[in-house]
Amino acid sequence: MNDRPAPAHAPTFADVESHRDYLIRYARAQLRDTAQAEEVVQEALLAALEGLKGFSGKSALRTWLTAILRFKIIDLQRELSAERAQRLVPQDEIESAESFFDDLFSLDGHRVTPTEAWQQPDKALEEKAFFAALEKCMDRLPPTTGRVFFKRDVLGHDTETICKEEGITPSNCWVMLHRARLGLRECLNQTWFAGSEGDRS
Amino acid sequence: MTDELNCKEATRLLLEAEERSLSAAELAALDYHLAECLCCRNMKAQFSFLKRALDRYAKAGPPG
Repeated sequence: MNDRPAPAHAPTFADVESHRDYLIRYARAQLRDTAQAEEVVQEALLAALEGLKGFSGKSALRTWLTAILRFKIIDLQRELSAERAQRLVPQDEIESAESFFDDLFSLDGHRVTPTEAWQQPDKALEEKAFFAALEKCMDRLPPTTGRVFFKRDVLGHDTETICKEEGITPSNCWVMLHRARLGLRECLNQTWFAGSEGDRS
Repeated sequence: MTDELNCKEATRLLLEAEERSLSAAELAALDYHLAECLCCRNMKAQFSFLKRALDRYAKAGPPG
């Protein structure tokens, strides 16, 4: 491919490749991470090779490549900060999950509101509206908690896999599952089974 | 574990039983508590009902 004489303005693979070291230095200065810099330059060079036709030759090849790289770096930085933001959420959720559990009990470990029996729960399983209520209650769970719960109790995945996917420790995974199950129980108790508790007076 | 459980500890064991097998001592303590405590028996029944409901939900897919 390379021995075909190229027209004046069409840069070859080797032309593009010759700017790699410069581009890596450029990316590393912005990202302060060599591995990430190499990766993003690789992506930028691939994009450049794909879009070589778009290179008008008006600007220097290096300027054109740097412009592509700059967009790739912006994308990567956006991705990284989204990931960071996501990782902050579970810590919040774990703390609120713990207090959710604690708040159901008094200091000496008794239920604040006694758990009353549900009347004819199996009848509910025959009703479409019950499953709509169940779904609504699941939707109310905090995002990570809801996802962990759905994967575990609806899809039946094993806890270990779920923890890894979500990047949380097994014990935090449990905390979230417990919060979800208790939350679902409380929610259905209020929204679906409320009638069966009210008539004690 | 010879101490008697309170409702909070019993509830935690009920929840953890889904993720790990409880020790013989834990099971004995839990059974002892459940025999005494209607509140926690209701809780236990409701957790197992939820499990059945979710199984059915998983098989049927979202309602509507």
